[in-house]
Amino acid sequence: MESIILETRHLTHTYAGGTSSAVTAIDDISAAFYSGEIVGIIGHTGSGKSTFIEHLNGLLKGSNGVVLLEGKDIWANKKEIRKVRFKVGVCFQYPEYQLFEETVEKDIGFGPKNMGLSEEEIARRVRTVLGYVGLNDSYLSKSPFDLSGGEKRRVAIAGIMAMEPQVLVLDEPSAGLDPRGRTKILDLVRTYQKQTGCTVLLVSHSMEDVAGLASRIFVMNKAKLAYFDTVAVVFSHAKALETMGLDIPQITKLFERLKENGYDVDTGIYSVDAAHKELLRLLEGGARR
Amino acid sequence: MGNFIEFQNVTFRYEVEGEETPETLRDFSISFQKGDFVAVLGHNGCGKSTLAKLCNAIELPQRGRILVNGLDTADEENVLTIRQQVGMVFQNPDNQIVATIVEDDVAFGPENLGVLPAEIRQRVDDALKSVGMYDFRFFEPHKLSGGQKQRVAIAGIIAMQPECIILDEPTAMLDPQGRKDVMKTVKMLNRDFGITVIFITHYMDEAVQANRVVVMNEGKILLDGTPKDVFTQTKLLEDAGLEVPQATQLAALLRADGYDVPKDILDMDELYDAVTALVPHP
Repeated sequence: MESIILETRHLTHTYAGGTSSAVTAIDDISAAFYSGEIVGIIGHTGSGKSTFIEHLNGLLKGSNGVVLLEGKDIWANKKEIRKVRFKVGVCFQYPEYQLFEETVEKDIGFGPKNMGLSEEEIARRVRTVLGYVGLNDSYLSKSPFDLSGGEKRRVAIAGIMAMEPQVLVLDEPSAGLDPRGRTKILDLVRTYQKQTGCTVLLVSHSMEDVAGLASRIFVMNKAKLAYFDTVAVVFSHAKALETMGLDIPQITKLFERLKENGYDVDTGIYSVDAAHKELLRLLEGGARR
Repeated sequence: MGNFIEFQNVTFRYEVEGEETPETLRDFSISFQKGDFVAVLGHNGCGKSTLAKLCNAIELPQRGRILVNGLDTADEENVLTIRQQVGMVFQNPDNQIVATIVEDDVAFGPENLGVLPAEIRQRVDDALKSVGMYDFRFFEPHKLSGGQKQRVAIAGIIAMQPECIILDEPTAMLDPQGRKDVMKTVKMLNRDFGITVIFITHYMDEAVQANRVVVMNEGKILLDGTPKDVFTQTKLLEDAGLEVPQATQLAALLRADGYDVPKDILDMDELYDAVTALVPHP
Protein backbone atom coordinates (compact mmCIF):
# COMPACT_ATOMS: atom_id res chain seq x y z
CA MET A 1 0.00 0.00 0.00
CA GLU A 2 1.14 3.54 -0.69
CA SER A 3 2.02 5.80 2.19
CA ILE A 4 -0.50 7.95 4.00
CA ILE A 5 -0.05 11.64 3.23
CA LEU A 6 -2.98 13.15 5.10
CA GLU A 7 -5.06 11.76 7.89
CA THR A 8 -7.80 12.87 10.24
CA ARG A 9 -8.49 11.18 13.58
CA HIS A 10 -11.80 11.71 15.35
CA LEU A 11 -12.04 15.14 13.77
CA THR A 12 -15.05 17.03 15.12
CA HIS A 13 -16.12 20.62 14.69
CA THR A 14 -18.90 22.26 16.64
CA TYR A 15 -19.93 25.78 15.65
CA ALA A 16 -21.05 27.98 18.54
CA GLY A 17 -20.03 25.27 20.99
CA GLY A 18 -21.37 25.60 24.52
CA THR A 19 -24.38 27.67 23.44
CA SER A 20 -27.95 26.56 22.85
CA SER A 21 -27.51 26.96 19.11
CA ALA A 22 -24.47 24.67 18.91
CA VAL A 23 -24.26 22.78 15.61
CA THR A 24 -21.90 19.90 15.01
CA ALA A 25 -20.79 20.40 11.40
CA ILE A 26 -18.45 17.42 11.28
CA ASP A 27 -18.64 14.58 13.72
CA ASP A 28 -15.84 12.18 14.61
CA ILE A 29 -14.27 11.78 11.19
CA SER A 30 -11.33 9.41 10.92
CA ALA A 31 -9.95 8.93 7.42
CA ALA A 32 -6.62 8.43 5.68
CA PHE A 33 -5.70 9.72 2.22
CA TYR A 34 -2.85 8.06 0.35
CA SER A 35 -0.07 9.62 -1.61
CA GLY A 36 -0.95 9.96 -5.29
CA GLU A 37 -4.62 8.96 -5.21
CA ILE A 38 -7.67 10.84 -6.47
CA VAL A 39 -10.55 10.80 -4.02
CA GLY A 40 -14.05 12.04 -4.80
CA ILE A 41 -15.88 13.74 -1.92
CA ILE A 42 -19.68 13.70 -2.16
CA GLY A 43 -22.50 14.64 0.20
CA HIS A 44 -25.75 16.60 0.23
CA THR A 45 -25.70 20.38 0.68
CA GLY A 46 -24.90 21.09 4.31
CA SER A 47 -23.46 17.62 4.96
CA GLY A 48 -20.20 19.16 6.17
CA LYS A 49 -17.96 18.70 3.10
CA SER A 50 -16.78 22.31 3.05
CA THR A 51 -16.19 22.41 6.80
CA PHE A 52 -14.18 19.21 6.48
CA ILE A 53 -11.86 20.48 3.76
CA GLU A 54 -11.33 23.76 5.62
CA HIS A 55 -9.72 21.69 8.36
CA LEU A 56 -7.27 20.00 6.02
CA ASN A 57 -5.14 23.12 5.55
CA GLY A 58 -5.82 24.67 8.94
CA LEU A 59 -8.35 27.33 7.96
CA LEU A 60 -10.45 25.85 10.75
CA LYS A 61 -9.28 24.06 13.85
CA GLY A 62 -11.30 21.10 15.07
CA SER A 63 -12.99 21.28 18.45
CA ASN A 64 -11.81 17.72 18.83
CA GLY A 65 -9.47 15.33 17.04
CA VAL A 66 -6.39 15.95 14.90
CA VAL A 67 -5.29 16.42 11.31
CA LEU A 68 -1.99 14.74 10.49
CA LEU A 69 0.04 15.81 7.46
CA GLU A 70 2.86 13.33 6.79
CA GLY A 71 2.22 11.97 10.26
CA LYS A 72 2.56 15.32 12.04
CA ASP A 73 -0.25 17.23 13.76
CA ILE A 74 -0.70 20.37 11.64
CA TRP A 75 -1.41 22.41 14.78
CA ALA A 76 1.65 21.11 16.70
CA ASN A 77 3.33 24.44 16.08
CA LYS A 78 0.86 27.26 15.44
CA LYS A 79 3.48 29.40 13.72
CA GLU A 80 4.00 26.73 11.09
CA ILE A 81 0.36 26.65 9.97
CA ARG A 82 1.15 28.89 6.98
CA LYS A 83 3.46 26.19 5.66
CA VAL A 84 0.63 23.69 5.86
CA ARG A 85 -1.38 25.92 3.52
CA PHE A 86 1.36 25.66 0.91
CA LYS A 87 1.39 21.88 1.22
CA VAL A 88 -2.37 21.40 1.15
CA GLY A 89 -3.75 23.69 -1.56
CA VAL A 90 -7.48 24.32 -1.36
CA CYS A 91 -9.31 25.74 -4.34
CA PHE A 92 -12.79 26.90 -3.34
CA GLN A 93 -16.00 27.04 -5.37
CA TYR A 94 -16.07 29.68 -8.09
CA PRO A 95 -12.37 30.50 -7.58
CA GLU A 96 -12.47 32.91 -10.52
CA TYR A 97 -14.11 35.47 -8.22
CA GLN A 98 -10.84 35.58 -6.31
CA LEU A 99 -8.68 36.67 -9.23
CA PHE A 100 -7.39 40.17 -8.59
CA GLU A 101 -4.02 40.88 -10.22
CA GLU A 102 -3.35 42.93 -13.36
CA THR A 103 -2.00 40.02 -15.35
CA VAL A 104 -2.41 36.26 -15.44
CA GLU A 105 1.31 35.91 -14.69
CA LYS A 106 1.09 37.99 -11.49
CA ASP A 107 -2.09 36.25 -10.38
CA ILE A 108 -0.68 32.75 -10.73
CA GLY A 109 2.60 33.92 -9.19
CA PHE A 110 0.93 35.36 -6.10
CA GLY A 111 1.04 32.13 -4.09
CA PRO A 112 4.68 31.28 -4.89
CA LYS A 113 5.64 34.91 -4.15
CA ASN A 114 4.10 34.58 -0.69
CA MET A 115 6.19 31.46 -0.21
CA GLY A 116 9.26 33.67 -0.62
CA LEU A 117 10.53 31.95 -3.77
CA SER A 118 13.04 33.54 -6.16
CA GLU A 119 11.86 35.38 -9.29
CA GLU A 120 13.27 32.63 -11.52
CA GLU A 121 11.53 29.90 -9.58
CA ILE A 122 8.24 31.81 -9.67
CA ALA A 123 8.56 32.31 -13.43
CA ARG A 124 9.31 28.61 -13.92
CA ARG A 125 6.33 27.51 -11.86
CA VAL A 126 3.94 29.92 -13.53
CA ARG A 127 4.87 28.55 -16.95
CA THR A 128 4.66 24.94 -15.82
CA VAL A 129 1.19 25.22 -14.30
CA LEU A 130 -0.10 27.25 -17.24
CA GLY A 131 0.68 24.16 -19.30
CA TYR A 132 -1.15 21.93 -16.81
CA VAL A 133 -4.32 23.96 -17.26
CA GLY A 134 -4.05 23.96 -21.04
CA LEU A 135 -3.16 27.63 -21.62
CA ASN A 136 -0.09 28.92 -23.45
CA ASP A 137 2.42 31.69 -22.74
CA SER A 138 0.40 34.24 -24.70
CA TYR A 139 -1.95 34.40 -21.71
CA LEU A 140 0.75 35.60 -19.29
CA SER A 141 0.40 39.30 -20.06
CA LYS A 142 -3.40 39.27 -20.37
CA SER A 143 -5.69 40.65 -17.71
CA PRO A 144 -7.49 37.77 -15.99
CA PHE A 145 -10.70 39.77 -16.34
CA ASP A 146 -10.59 39.61 -20.14
CA LEU A 147 -10.78 35.81 -20.18
CA SER A 148 -13.82 33.59 -20.63
CA GLY A 149 -15.44 31.99 -17.58
CA GLY A 150 -13.77 28.62 -18.17
CA GLU A 151 -10.34 30.23 -18.70
CA LYS A 152 -10.66 32.32 -15.54
CA ARG A 153 -11.49 29.17 -13.61
CA ARG A 154 -8.40 27.45 -15.00
CA VAL A 155 -6.14 30.42 -14.14
CA ALA A 156 -7.48 30.37 -10.58
CA ILE A 157 -6.78 26.65 -10.26
CA ALA A 158 -3.30 27.20 -11.72
CA GLY A 159 -2.66 29.72 -8.94
CA ILE A 160 -3.09 26.95 -6.37
CA MET A 161 -1.10 24.42 -8.41
CA ALA A 162 1.81 26.90 -8.57
CA MET A 163 2.40 26.40 -4.86
CA GLU A 164 3.14 22.78 -5.78
CA PRO A 165 1.03 21.42 -2.95
CA GLN A 166 1.30 17.75 -2.01
CA VAL A 167 -2.45 17.60 -1.69
CA LEU A 168 -4.71 19.57 -4.03
CA VAL A 169 -8.30 20.01 -2.87
CA LEU A 170 -10.80 21.18 -5.49
CA ASP A 171 -14.30 22.20 -4.37
CA GLU A 172 -16.73 21.80 -7.28
CA PRO A 173 -14.21 22.72 -9.97
CA SER A 174 -16.65 22.12 -12.83
CA ALA A 175 -19.82 23.75 -11.39
CA GLY A 176 -21.51 26.13 -13.82
CA LEU A 177 -19.34 25.21 -16.81
CA ASP A 178 -20.73 23.91 -20.09
CA PRO A 179 -20.05 20.27 -21.04
CA ARG A 180 -16.89 21.17 -22.97
CA GLY A 181 -15.53 23.27 -20.10
CA ARG A 182 -16.39 20.51 -17.64
CA THR A 183 -14.59 17.84 -19.64
CA LYS A 184 -11.57 20.11 -19.98
CA ILE A 185 -11.31 20.72 -16.23
CA LEU A 186 -11.62 17.02 -15.44
CA ASP A 187 -9.02 16.09 -18.07
CA LEU A 188 -6.58 18.61 -16.68
CA VAL A 189 -7.04 17.33 -13.14
CA ARG A 190 -6.25 13.82 -14.36
CA THR A 191 -3.16 14.96 -16.31
CA TYR A 192 -1.93 17.11 -13.45
CA GLN A 193 -2.22 14.21 -11.04
CA LYS A 194 -0.33 11.87 -13.38
CA GLN A 195 2.48 14.35 -14.01
CA THR A 196 2.99 15.52 -10.44
CA GLY A 197 1.99 12.36 -8.58
CA CYS A 198 0.28 14.47 -5.95
CA THR A 199 -2.94 13.62 -4.12
CA VAL A 200 -6.17 15.18 -5.36
CA LEU A 201 -9.40 15.50 -3.40
CA LEU A 202 -12.32 16.44 -5.60
CA VAL A 203 -15.59 17.69 -4.08
CA SER A 204 -18.46 17.32 -6.53
CA HIS A 205 -22.23 17.04 -6.87
CA SER A 206 -21.79 15.14 -10.12
CA MET A 207 -21.72 11.39 -9.60
CA GLU A 208 -20.57 11.05 -13.23
CA ASP A 209 -17.52 13.27 -12.65
CA VAL A 210 -16.54 11.45 -9.50
CA ALA A 211 -16.98 8.01 -11.09
CA GLY A 212 -14.86 9.06 -14.06
CA LEU A 213 -11.97 10.44 -12.08
CA ALA A 214 -11.62 9.03 -8.58
CA SER A 215 -10.44 5.67 -7.36
CA ARG A 216 -12.13 6.05 -3.97
CA ILE A 217 -15.18 7.98 -2.81
CA PHE A 218 -15.64 9.71 0.53
CA VAL A 219 -19.34 10.13 1.36
CA MET A 220 -20.52 12.58 3.98
CA ASN A 221 -24.02 12.51 5.42
CA LYS A 222 -25.30 14.79 8.16
CA ALA A 223 -21.83 15.67 9.48
CA LYS A 224 -20.69 12.03 9.59
CA LEU A 225 -18.53 9.94 7.30
CA ALA A 226 -20.99 7.48 5.78
CA TYR A 227 -18.70 5.55 3.41
CA PHE A 228 -15.08 5.76 2.33
CA ASP A 229 -14.36 3.04 -0.18
CA THR A 230 -13.70 2.20 -3.81
CA VAL A 231 -16.03 3.61 -6.45
CA ALA A 232 -17.58 0.17 -7.03
CA VAL A 233 -18.31 -0.46 -3.36
CA VAL A 234 -19.75 3.00 -2.72
CA PHE A 235 -22.01 2.95 -5.78
CA SER A 236 -23.25 -0.51 -4.83
CA HIS A 237 -25.15 1.24 -2.01
CA ALA A 238 -27.58 2.88 -4.44
CA LYS A 239 -30.60 2.90 -2.10
CA ALA A 240 -28.68 4.27 0.88
CA LEU A 241 -27.12 6.99 -1.27
CA GLU A 242 -30.55 8.05 -2.46
CA THR A 243 -31.81 8.47 1.10
CA MET A 244 -28.78 10.73 1.67
CA GLY A 245 -29.92 13.02 -1.18
CA LEU A 246 -27.26 11.55 -3.46
CA ASP A 247 -27.43 9.24 -6.41
CA ILE A 248 -25.45 6.83 -8.55
CA PRO A 249 -24.42 7.62 -12.14
CA GLN A 250 -27.36 7.28 -14.56
CA ILE A 251 -25.50 4.78 -16.65
CA THR A 252 -24.90 2.58 -13.60
CA LYS A 253 -28.65 2.65 -12.91
CA LEU A 254 -29.35 0.97 -16.25
CA PHE A 255 -27.15 -1.98 -15.27
CA GLU A 256 -28.58 -2.13 -11.74
CA ARG A 257 -32.03 -2.42 -13.29
CA LEU A 258 -30.95 -5.11 -15.77
CA LYS A 259 -29.38 -7.08 -12.94
CA GLU A 260 -32.47 -6.73 -10.72
CA ASN A 261 -34.54 -8.19 -13.51
CA GLY A 262 -32.37 -11.25 -13.84
CA TYR A 263 -30.00 -10.23 -16.64
CA ASP A 264 -26.46 -11.32 -15.92
CA VAL A 265 -24.57 -8.06 -16.24
CA ASP A 266 -21.79 -6.30 -14.38
CA THR A 267 -23.12 -3.30 -12.42
CA GLY A 268 -19.75 -1.59 -11.95
CA ILE A 269 -20.21 0.43 -15.15
CA TYR A 270 -19.54 4.18 -15.09
CA SER A 271 -18.68 5.29 -18.62
CA VAL A 272 -20.31 5.17 -22.05
CA ASP A 273 -17.43 3.00 -23.36
CA ALA A 274 -17.74 0.45 -20.58
CA ALA A 275 -21.52 0.43 -20.97
CA HIS A 276 -21.23 -0.14 -24.70
CA LYS A 277 -18.97 -3.18 -24.17
CA GLU A 278 -21.21 -4.65 -21.51
CA LEU A 279 -24.37 -4.16 -23.59
CA LEU A 280 -22.68 -5.85 -26.57
CA ARG A 281 -21.80 -8.79 -24.36
CA LEU A 282 -25.43 -9.03 -23.29
CA LEU A 283 -26.77 -8.68 -26.85
CA GLU A 284 -24.35 -11.23 -28.25
CA GLY A 285 -25.76 -13.78 -25.87
CA GLY A 286 -22.63 -13.92 -23.77
CA ALA A 287 -24.49 -12.65 -20.79
CA ARG A 288 -25.50 -16.08 -19.51
CA ARG A 289 -22.22 -16.83 -17.87
CA MET B 1 -52.05 29.45 -28.19
CA GLY B 2 -50.47 32.76 -28.99
CA ASN B 3 -46.91 33.98 -28.78
CA PHE B 4 -46.10 35.16 -25.31
CA ILE B 5 -42.58 36.42 -25.98
CA GLU B 6 -41.44 37.44 -29.40
CA PHE B 7 -37.94 38.47 -30.53
CA GLN B 8 -38.07 40.31 -33.85
CA ASN B 9 -34.70 40.64 -35.62
CA VAL B 10 -32.91 41.48 -32.40
CA THR B 11 -29.30 42.60 -32.42
CA PHE B 12 -27.62 43.13 -29.08
CA ARG B 13 -24.14 43.83 -27.81
CA TYR B 14 -22.94 44.79 -24.34
CA GLU B 15 -21.76 48.39 -24.40
CA VAL B 16 -18.39 49.05 -22.84
CA GLU B 17 -17.10 52.59 -22.99
CA GLY B 18 -14.29 53.09 -25.48
CA GLU B 19 -14.42 49.51 -26.70
CA GLU B 20 -15.65 47.75 -29.78
CA THR B 21 -17.63 44.84 -28.32
CA PRO B 22 -18.85 41.89 -30.39
CA GLU B 23 -22.53 41.36 -31.05
CA THR B 24 -23.93 38.80 -28.60
CA LEU B 25 -27.10 38.34 -30.65
CA ARG B 26 -27.34 39.22 -34.32
CA ASP B 27 -30.60 39.53 -36.23
CA PHE B 28 -32.12 37.05 -33.81
CA SER B 29 -35.78 36.05 -34.05
CA ILE B 30 -37.64 33.54 -31.91
CA SER B 31 -41.01 33.25 -30.24
CA PHE B 32 -42.15 31.42 -27.14
CA GLN B 33 -45.76 30.25 -26.89
CA LYS B 34 -47.97 30.65 -23.87
CA GLY B 35 -47.83 27.57 -21.64
CA ASP B 36 -44.74 26.15 -23.30
CA PHE B 37 -41.83 24.50 -21.49
CA VAL B 38 -38.68 25.39 -23.39
CA ALA B 39 -35.14 24.33 -22.51
CA VAL B 40 -32.35 26.55 -23.82
CA LEU B 41 -28.90 24.99 -24.29
CA GLY B 42 -25.57 26.29 -25.49
CA HIS B 43 -21.96 26.59 -24.37
CA ASN B 44 -20.88 29.37 -22.00
CA GLY B 45 -20.91 32.70 -23.79
CA CYS B 46 -23.33 31.65 -26.56
CA GLY B 47 -25.90 34.27 -25.57
CA LYS B 48 -28.32 32.23 -23.44
CA SER B 49 -28.25 34.49 -20.39
CA THR B 50 -28.45 37.56 -22.62
CA LEU B 51 -31.62 36.10 -24.11
CA ALA B 52 -33.04 35.78 -20.59
CA LYS B 53 -32.14 39.34 -19.62
CA LEU B 54 -33.70 40.72 -22.79
CA CYS B 55 -37.00 39.02 -21.96
CA ASN B 56 -37.76 41.20 -18.97
CA ALA B 57 -36.06 44.42 -19.94
CA ILE B 58 -32.95 44.04 -17.81
CA GLU B 59 -31.17 44.67 -21.12
CA LEU B 60 -32.56 46.37 -24.23
CA PRO B 61 -31.63 45.57 -27.84
CA GLN B 62 -29.80 48.04 -30.09
CA ARG B 63 -31.81 46.89 -33.11
CA GLY B 64 -35.05 44.98 -33.51
CA ARG B 65 -37.64 44.63 -30.79
CA ILE B 66 -38.93 42.25 -28.14
CA LEU B 67 -42.61 41.93 -27.35
CA VAL B 68 -43.84 40.40 -24.11
CA ASN B 69 -47.55 39.71 -24.25
CA GLY B 70 -47.65 42.34 -26.99
CA LEU B 71 -45.76 44.94 -24.92
CA ASP B 72 -42.49 46.36 -26.27
CA THR B 73 -39.70 45.99 -23.67
CA ALA B 74 -38.08 49.21 -24.94
CA ASP B 75 -41.05 51.29 -23.75
CA GLU B 76 -40.32 52.34 -20.17
CA GLU B 77 -44.00 52.44 -19.32
CA ASN B 78 -44.22 48.71 -19.95
CA VAL B 79 -41.28 47.68 -17.79
CA LEU B 80 -43.16 47.15 -14.51
CA THR B 81 -45.92 45.14 -16.17
CA ILE B 82 -43.37 43.04 -18.03
CA ARG B 83 -41.34 42.30 -14.90
CA GLN B 84 -44.48 41.25 -13.08
CA GLN B 85 -45.35 38.91 -15.92
CA VAL B 86 -41.87 37.50 -16.47
CA GLY B 87 -40.04 36.37 -13.35
CA MET B 88 -36.38 35.38 -13.24
CA VAL B 89 -34.56 32.81 -11.12
CA PHE B 90 -30.77 32.79 -11.24
CA GLN B 91 -28.01 30.26 -10.63
CA ASN B 92 -26.88 31.21 -7.16
CA PRO B 93 -29.71 31.10 -4.59
CA ASP B 94 -27.65 33.09 -2.10
CA ASN B 95 -27.66 36.12 -4.39
CA GLN B 96 -31.44 36.33 -4.67
CA ILE B 97 -32.65 35.99 -1.11
CA VAL B 98 -33.15 39.35 0.57
CA ALA B 99 -35.02 38.73 3.81
CA THR B 100 -34.09 36.97 7.05
CA ILE B 101 -37.25 34.84 7.23
CA VAL B 102 -38.48 32.64 4.39
CA GLU B 103 -42.03 34.06 4.25
CA ASP B 104 -40.76 37.66 4.29
CA ASP B 105 -38.57 36.85 1.35
CA VAL B 106 -41.48 35.46 -0.64
CA ALA B 107 -43.57 38.54 0.27
CA PHE B 108 -40.91 40.93 -1.06
CA GLY B 109 -42.06 40.78 -4.69
CA PRO B 110 -45.81 41.28 -4.16
CA GLU B 111 -45.09 44.05 -1.62
CA ASN B 112 -43.14 45.90 -4.29
CA LEU B 113 -46.03 45.48 -6.67
CA GLY B 114 -48.31 47.20 -4.14
CA VAL B 115 -50.48 44.17 -3.47
CA LEU B 116 -52.80 44.57 -0.43
CA PRO B 117 -51.58 42.91 2.80
CA ALA B 118 -54.39 40.32 3.09
CA GLU B 119 -53.83 39.31 -0.50
CA ILE B 120 -50.06 39.10 0.08
CA ARG B 121 -50.66 36.72 3.01
CA GLN B 122 -52.70 34.46 0.75
CA ARG B 123 -50.23 34.59 -2.13
CA VAL B 124 -47.23 33.84 0.09
CA ASP B 125 -48.94 30.81 1.65
CA ASP B 126 -50.08 29.51 -1.73
CA ALA B 127 -46.66 30.04 -3.32
CA LEU B 128 -44.82 28.27 -0.48
CA LYS B 129 -47.27 25.37 -0.58
CA SER B 130 -46.88 25.00 -4.33
CA VAL B 131 -43.10 24.57 -4.08
CA GLY B 132 -43.37 22.33 -1.01
CA MET B 133 -41.72 24.82 1.36
CA TYR B 134 -44.72 25.88 3.50
CA ASP B 135 -43.41 24.02 6.56
CA PHE B 136 -40.25 26.11 6.35
CA ARG B 137 -42.03 29.50 6.25
CA PHE B 138 -40.56 30.69 9.56
CA PHE B 139 -37.04 29.43 8.84
CA GLU B 140 -34.01 31.60 8.28
CA PRO B 141 -33.04 31.13 4.63
CA HIS B 142 -29.36 30.50 5.40
CA LYS B 143 -30.34 27.36 7.29
CA LEU B 144 -31.85 25.80 4.16
CA SER B 145 -30.09 23.60 1.62
CA GLY B 146 -29.32 24.91 -1.85
CA GLY B 147 -32.31 23.18 -3.41
CA GLN B 148 -34.63 24.51 -0.70
CA LYS B 149 -33.32 28.06 -1.17
CA GLN B 150 -33.86 27.77 -4.89
CA ARG B 151 -37.47 26.69 -4.29
CA VAL B 152 -37.96 29.69 -1.98
CA ALA B 153 -36.63 31.91 -4.77
CA ILE B 154 -39.13 30.30 -7.14
CA ALA B 155 -41.93 30.85 -4.59
CA GLY B 156 -40.96 34.54 -4.47
CA ILE B 157 -41.53 34.71 -8.22
CA ILE B 158 -44.80 32.74 -8.11
CA ALA B 159 -46.17 35.14 -5.47
CA MET B 160 -46.02 37.85 -8.14
CA GLN B 161 -48.33 35.64 -10.24
CA PRO B 162 -46.27 35.78 -13.40
CA GLU B 163 -47.27 34.34 -16.74
CA CYS B 164 -43.75 33.15 -17.36
CA ILE B 165 -40.70 32.09 -15.36
CA ILE B 166 -37.20 32.17 -16.78
CA LEU B 167 -34.67 30.06 -14.91
CA ASP B 168 -31.00 30.61 -15.72
CA GLU B 169 -29.10 27.46 -14.71
CA PRO B 170 -31.10 27.09 -11.49
CA THR B 171 -29.61 23.69 -10.68
CA ALA B 172 -25.92 24.36 -11.36
CA MET B 173 -25.01 24.61 -7.68
CA LEU B 174 -27.32 21.94 -6.30
CA ASP B 175 -26.82 18.38 -5.08
CA PRO B 176 -28.69 15.54 -6.84
CA GLN B 177 -31.73 15.72 -4.52
CA GLY B 178 -31.90 19.51 -4.86
CA ARG B 179 -31.77 19.22 -8.65
CA LYS B 180 -34.62 16.68 -8.69
CA ASP B 181 -36.80 18.82 -6.38
CA VAL B 182 -36.33 21.99 -8.43
CA MET B 183 -37.04 20.15 -11.68
CA LYS B 184 -40.19 18.60 -10.20
CA THR B 185 -41.41 22.00 -8.98
CA VAL B 186 -40.84 23.66 -12.34
CA LYS B 187 -42.64 20.88 -14.23
CA MET B 188 -45.59 21.12 -11.85
CA LEU B 189 -45.87 24.92 -12.32
CA ASN B 190 -45.94 24.44 -16.05
CA ARG B 191 -48.39 21.53 -16.02
CA ASP B 192 -50.81 22.57 -13.26
CA PHE B 193 -50.70 26.36 -13.48
CA GLY B 194 -49.97 26.77 -17.18
CA ILE B 195 -46.97 28.99 -16.45
CA THR B 196 -44.67 29.41 -19.44
CA VAL B 197 -41.20 28.15 -18.55
CA ILE B 198 -37.90 29.03 -20.18
CA PHE B 199 -35.25 26.82 -18.61
CA ILE B 200 -31.58 27.49 -19.32
CA THR B 201 -29.34 24.57 -18.43
CA HIS B 202 -26.15 22.66 -19.14
CA TYR B 203 -27.68 19.37 -18.08
CA MET B 204 -28.98 17.31 -21.00
CA ASP B 205 -31.06 15.08 -18.73
CA GLU B 206 -33.00 18.18 -17.63
CA ALA B 207 -33.43 19.47 -21.17
CA VAL B 208 -35.01 16.19 -22.35
CA GLN B 209 -37.90 16.85 -19.96
CA ALA B 210 -38.98 20.02 -21.81
CA ASN B 211 -41.48 20.13 -24.69
CA ARG B 212 -39.16 22.14 -26.87
CA VAL B 213 -35.37 22.46 -26.93
CA VAL B 214 -33.57 25.47 -28.38
CA VAL B 215 -29.82 25.17 -28.91
CA MET B 216 -27.91 28.42 -29.26
CA ASN B 217 -24.48 28.86 -30.75
CA GLU B 218 -22.56 32.12 -31.29
CA GLY B 219 -25.68 34.24 -30.85
CA LYS B 220 -27.76 32.24 -33.31
CA ILE B 221 -30.25 29.40 -33.14
CA LEU B 222 -28.53 26.16 -34.08
CA LEU B 223 -31.38 23.75 -33.42
CA ASP B 224 -35.00 24.19 -32.39
CA GLY B 225 -37.46 21.34 -31.96
CA THR B 226 -38.73 18.56 -29.73
CA PRO B 227 -36.13 16.84 -27.52
CA LYS B 228 -36.20 13.85 -29.86
CA ASP B 229 -35.57 16.04 -32.93
CA VAL B 230 -32.75 17.94 -31.28
CA PHE B 231 -30.85 15.20 -29.47
CA THR B 232 -30.57 12.95 -32.50
CA GLN B 233 -28.40 15.66 -34.13
CA THR B 234 -25.32 14.24 -32.42
CA LYS B 235 -22.73 15.82 -34.67
CA LEU B 236 -24.15 19.36 -34.63
CA LEU B 237 -24.45 19.25 -30.85
CA GLU B 238 -20.92 18.03 -30.33
CA ASP B 239 -19.55 20.68 -32.69
CA ALA B 240 -21.35 23.27 -30.57
CA GLY B 241 -19.54 22.03 -27.45
CA LEU B 242 -22.55 20.17 -26.09
CA GLU B 243 -23.26 16.56 -25.36
CA VAL B 244 -26.08 14.25 -26.21
CA PRO B 245 -27.57 12.29 -23.30
CA GLN B 246 -25.59 9.13 -22.49
CA ALA B 247 -28.58 6.93 -23.36
CA THR B 248 -28.73 8.52 -26.83
CA GLN B 249 -24.97 8.02 -27.29
CA LEU B 250 -25.29 4.35 -26.37
CA ALA B 251 -28.25 3.85 -28.72
CA ALA B 252 -26.20 5.35 -31.57
CA LEU B 253 -23.25 3.05 -30.79
CA LEU B 254 -25.49 -0.03 -30.75
CA ARG B 255 -27.11 1.00 -34.03
CA ALA B 256 -23.66 1.35 -35.58
CA ASP B 257 -22.99 -2.23 -34.43
CA GLY B 258 -26.05 -3.31 -36.41
CA TYR B 259 -28.57 -3.69 -33.59
CA ASP B 260 -32.14 -2.61 -34.16
CA VAL B 261 -32.38 0.10 -31.52
CA PRO B 262 -34.48 3.25 -32.09
CA LYS B 263 -32.27 6.25 -32.68
CA ASP B 264 -34.43 8.70 -30.76
CA ILE B 265 -33.80 7.21 -27.33
CA LEU B 266 -33.42 9.95 -24.71
CA ASP B 267 -33.18 8.28 -21.33
CA MET B 268 -32.09 5.09 -19.61
CA ASP B 269 -35.67 3.78 -19.30
CA GLU B 270 -36.13 3.89 -23.06
CA LEU B 271 -32.75 2.27 -23.55
CA TYR B 272 -33.66 -0.44 -21.06
CA ASP B 273 -36.82 -1.23 -23.04
CA ALA B 274 -34.94 -1.27 -26.34
CA VAL B 275 -32.19 -3.57 -25.09
CA THR B 276 -34.46 -6.01 -23.26
CA ALA B 277 -36.66 -6.23 -26.37
CA LEU B 278 -33.67 -7.76 -28.15
CA VAL B 279 -32.62 -10.22 -25.46
CA PRO B 280 -34.83 -13.09 -24.29
CA HIS B 281 -35.76 -12.62 -20.66
CA PRO B 282 -33.66 -14.85 -18.44
